[in-house]
Amino acid sequence: MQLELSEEQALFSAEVQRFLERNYDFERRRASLAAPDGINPAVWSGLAELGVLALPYPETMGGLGTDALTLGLVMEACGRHLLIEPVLASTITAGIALAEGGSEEQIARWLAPAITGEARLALALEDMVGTTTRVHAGNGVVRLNGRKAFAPGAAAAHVLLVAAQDDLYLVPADRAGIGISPIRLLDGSQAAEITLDDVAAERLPHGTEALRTALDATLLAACWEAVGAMAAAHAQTMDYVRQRQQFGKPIAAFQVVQHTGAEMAVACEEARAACMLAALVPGSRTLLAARVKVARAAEAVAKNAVQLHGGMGVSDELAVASYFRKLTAFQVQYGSAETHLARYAAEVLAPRHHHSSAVL
Amino acid sequence: MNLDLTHEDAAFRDEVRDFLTEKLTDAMREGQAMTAGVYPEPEISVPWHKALAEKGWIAPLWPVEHGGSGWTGVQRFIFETEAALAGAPLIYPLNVRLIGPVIIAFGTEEQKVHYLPRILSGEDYWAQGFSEPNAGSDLASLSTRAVVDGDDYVVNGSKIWTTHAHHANRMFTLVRTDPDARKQEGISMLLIDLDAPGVDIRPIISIGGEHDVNQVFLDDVRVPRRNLIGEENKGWSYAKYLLEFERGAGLNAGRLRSAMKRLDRIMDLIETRGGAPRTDTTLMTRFAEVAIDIDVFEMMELKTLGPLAPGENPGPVSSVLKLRNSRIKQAVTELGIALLGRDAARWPEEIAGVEDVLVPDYLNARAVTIFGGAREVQLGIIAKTLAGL
Repeated sequence: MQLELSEEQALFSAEVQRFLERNYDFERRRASLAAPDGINPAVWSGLAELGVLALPYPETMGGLGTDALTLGLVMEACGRHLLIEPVLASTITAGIALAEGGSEEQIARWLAPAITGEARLALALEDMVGTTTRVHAGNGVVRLNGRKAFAPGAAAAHVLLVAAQDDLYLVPADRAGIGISPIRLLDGSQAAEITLDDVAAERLPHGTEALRTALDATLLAACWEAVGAMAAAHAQTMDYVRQRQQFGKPIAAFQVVQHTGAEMAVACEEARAACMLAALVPGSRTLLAARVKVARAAEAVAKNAVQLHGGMGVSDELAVASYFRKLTAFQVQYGSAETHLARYAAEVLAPRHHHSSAVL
Repeated sequence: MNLDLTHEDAAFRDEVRDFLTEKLTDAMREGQAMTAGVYPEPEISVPWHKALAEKGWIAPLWPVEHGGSGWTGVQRFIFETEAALAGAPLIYPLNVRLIGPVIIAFGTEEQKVHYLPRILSGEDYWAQGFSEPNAGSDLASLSTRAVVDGDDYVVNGSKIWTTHAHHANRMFTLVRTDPDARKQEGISMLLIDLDAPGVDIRPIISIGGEHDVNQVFLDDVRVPRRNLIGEENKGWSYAKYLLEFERGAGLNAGRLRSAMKRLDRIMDLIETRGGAPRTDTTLMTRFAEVAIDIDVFEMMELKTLGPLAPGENPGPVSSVLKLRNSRIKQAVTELGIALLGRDAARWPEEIAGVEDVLVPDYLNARAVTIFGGAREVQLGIIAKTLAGL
């Protein structure tokens, strides 16, 4: 075991952190929020130059092939700064699905520009309620028909990976028959609803397995983002209570405020440990545990961050409101904590895996 | 950072498993499983202590020259996890883990030579004389007095909540030696023989019916001045050093996990009697939440304590571990009474079967967020250190 961060793990995330401090403070972030597709091109190309957009792919595909912890620490930094550019949706979710499930030719054609920042990818997974996306083959061409409900990153994507009939299909976003209507999400990022009307598509040879891997990676990366957001919300809240004067003293002097701040610190520590465990001992047990733990902690930290800010907590002037919305979006996306808790009960508790260490 | 076991660590784990298979008896395992107090009785824990001492494995936190096991933090994690999961008795922590490091760090040569071998061998059994009727969370307001008289201190006062004092032959004790100094600055730490004249130990029966703790009355007890730890009036700093070992130096995730295992054993029993607790999905969801807490807590302990060298102090983050450990322990016992349902309302009588442990264990576990620094004290420390308030 090596219980300290390796040099690579520490340095890479520190560099991303520095980049975001310089280019993505709360004021500069407004440029991304104001952009119709939620992208600040300078930020996106800066992330590409740093190698963030290459992180999860093997070196043979032009990626950096970093370990899960390094990736997690980078996502933590993104969460700390409430990054709305689609690193999660494009680089992690859709990028991993393509890297794991695509043909050599598909990977060469689309992953390379994704790594350089010239193209963005998005996964269109869920069908609109009451609809099913259908695949029709004829004249040597595969065509898709359907309506996708909620595709993160799709508003600014150049290529879509569309789930249909237990497979994944690749479709350039400008292809005839595609309609993309952007939706703004609670955290300020962009998603889209998509209509597919006889759209020519190509199947990914290993889409089914790739989808599982990509969704697991997405969930863990989202947990890391939440950990970063929680840490920042906690730190800003502690700053605030040290400054805010009531009854002739800073409100930090009140024990009830101190204990709430302490509980938030404990929740942050726990959430981070849960993510570390899932990154270092990959598997469904640790991922399910991370999802549940980080969701619980995110809820507690977000609510207390707003509460301790008093009236300022419910105004949109300070960052705390944005952190609250971000952490709320985290809780309700990716499958609820309750769903994952029930899965833990069925997959870990029932076969008594919890009798053994999660580490040894 | 990675959690892969090296060849050396894997070999160590196998050695630990072999040792447990060979030396851990059914009586020890059953004794631990039937324990409803905070610590098992000495007749359960001392034989295990002696087996570990013989192997050189009893003092992981001590330097090797004093009889420490020479383990890395990771090896300590492996040992504690494997021992707990195998059902080994919990080693009473006051001897080796608490007073041992204090004597090593601050004791005289004579004290080291006299006490350390007796602690290692299991011959001595220590109680902690800290709390008093009027000094709990405000420990520094303690009023037990020690006055120099010739070569002795004469000690008068009373200590309370002294765990296992009725089993102990010695007590490390905080006393006031300078009543005029600021309250933290007039305190000294004395090593008191409990068979000395003037010591009176009276039982306090716990909420769960156990005799775990006592009140110790000290009436003109003569304590040789050579039994002073370090310098006179510096006792508060030694106590703080000791408390960090009390709060965060244990590796408890394995213990919490083994308490969850005990609940499965009881569910198996209930099923043989025709019950079906595992079909109660609401209850199983509660179990899952606690099991997740334990998985995460294990990682917190490992990453906090694993990198420490023997004797290295975990610092204030020990308060986070103490807080989480105590809350999860309570949560496990709450699962226990949820499992019993209405039967948990019966007055706990004699412990005949393992399921009889659940109610007293639940009741006694209310103490874990109180002793060793109450929850409120830990939150205060965390607020000051980790939250910067």
